[in-house]
Amino acid sequence: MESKSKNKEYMKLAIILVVLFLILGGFLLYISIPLLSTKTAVLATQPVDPFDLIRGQYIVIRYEIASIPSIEGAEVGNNIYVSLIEDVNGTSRYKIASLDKPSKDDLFIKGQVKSIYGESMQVEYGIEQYFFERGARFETRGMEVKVKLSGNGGARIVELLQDGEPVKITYENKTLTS
Amino acid sequence: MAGNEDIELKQHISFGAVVATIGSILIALGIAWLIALNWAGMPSALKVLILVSATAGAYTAGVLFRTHDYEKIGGSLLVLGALLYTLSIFLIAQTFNLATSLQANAFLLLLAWIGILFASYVFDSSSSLVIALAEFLVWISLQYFSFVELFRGDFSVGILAIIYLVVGVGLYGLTQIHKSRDHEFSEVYRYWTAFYVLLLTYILSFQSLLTMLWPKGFELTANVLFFLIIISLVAIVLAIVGIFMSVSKNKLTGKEVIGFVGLVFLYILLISLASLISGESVSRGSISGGLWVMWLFDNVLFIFVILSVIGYGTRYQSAKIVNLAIMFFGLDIITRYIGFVLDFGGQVGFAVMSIIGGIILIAGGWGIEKWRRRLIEKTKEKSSQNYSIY
Repeated sequence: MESKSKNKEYMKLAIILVVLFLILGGFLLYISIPLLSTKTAVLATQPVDPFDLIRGQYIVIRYEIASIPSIEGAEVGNNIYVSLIEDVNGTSRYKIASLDKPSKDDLFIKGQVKSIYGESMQVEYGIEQYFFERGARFETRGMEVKVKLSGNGGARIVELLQDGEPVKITYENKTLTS
Repeated sequence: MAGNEDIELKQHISFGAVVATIGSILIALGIAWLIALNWAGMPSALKVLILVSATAGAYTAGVLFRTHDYEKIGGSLLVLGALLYTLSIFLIAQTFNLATSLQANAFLLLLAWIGILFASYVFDSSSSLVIALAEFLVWISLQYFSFVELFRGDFSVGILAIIYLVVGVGLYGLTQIHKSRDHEFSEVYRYWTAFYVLLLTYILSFQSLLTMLWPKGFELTANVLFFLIIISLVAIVLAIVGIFMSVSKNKLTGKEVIGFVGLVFLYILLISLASLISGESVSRGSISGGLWVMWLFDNVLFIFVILSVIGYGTRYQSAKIVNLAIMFFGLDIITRYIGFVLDFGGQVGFAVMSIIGGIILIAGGWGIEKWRRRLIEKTKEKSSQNYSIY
């Protein structure tokens, strides 16, 4: 190939790498925003059955705040803001829910209404799954989840806790035949 | 003699290159395996860096091979880069424990196919375009199903059929735009247009799905309507621009345009008429006359569309399109056979029909393969035949 054509090809490569890195970088930044926040909350989970809930290589986490009292005007698909209050153990519990974003000084998490049954509604917060490697083992009873919350209530899982300490995840020893 | 030596030398060089390539792949596999073994203990930032580096490495290697006249190897590495880029997006999502909902996955695929589509145009890589279009198909299907999941809407096959019809129209427009500029991508878009048309007609050939096109009490949610309007507008603009460009360069006949527009309106009519049989029972003995007529018409249309696509592929000398049509023909035979057995056979009937069906399939398979090879030969032989199925 002539050198002019080669230079053109290398220019194309540079353009593509820049564009793809911008897309990946932008995506990374977008999903990392809550992790840049200083607000953290420890959320209680409801009992998790590892046999039912482990699909593939992640567990489905059901939070205590997944089921909250329904509020007037809320419909399926609405964004909802759940204000939290810390208890004596440092776990963040449900305080009140609203369709309007609370003040920045409040501790709150943003969710989406999935269903409404009578006086209660089911809400998801986008943090209902935790991925881990194949062969991982850890205790899920009494588990709590530490999350970081962004200014608009978006949440990201930071770590899993048990009795206030990070959950110990053990992995199967890999051998040549495993 | 000198010529034979050259050929021999090239074969040795090629053999050497192949062996070296296999060796490189084994080394890369070994490194990848070691990384995989220690993946769990790696910090998230390192995992992301490895993925992004692998993507950049594949694209760089692809370009290097292309600039050194190894087009095919370079093209394959560009495809690898596209796949690694998609994998990077999904693994980044996994690293940050992003939601596994249909909408979340649809968003990830949207990022993936847009990036790969851009890369395919910059590199003029048809194989990368194929990857982008394959991911587009999965994205648009997932996006529809995510609407149903998000808003607890009724599942309407009719909306999915309309989406595929609209996409087919858009792809036809893209085919014409690229054909008018003699761009090699026209072949790819032509193939995918045929694919969507065949897929849509295949969906409409199922009796059980016809009654689900417009469920009773179905209401279109605002988000689905908005999505439909946007993709329809884009598709219509692409089709109009493409047809105009191709016709003005005498690369498209009026008959083909009329045939295409007529086919689109026929599909719209069929999809709309399905509302008359909405929610009807499909259990044996209680199928209405209207449903039977619609089902028979749709299946006759399917055969007609298959034959038309074969003619289309023959006209544009595309063996791939002919093969695609024959594949759908085979799929139609198998589907109808299974449906017939399930609907009309008892246990003995099933056994007899399985034997008869097996004999038919073996004979039919031999016949179809012979027919396919003849068509491919004919397609390759034709150079400037003015055959048009419209």
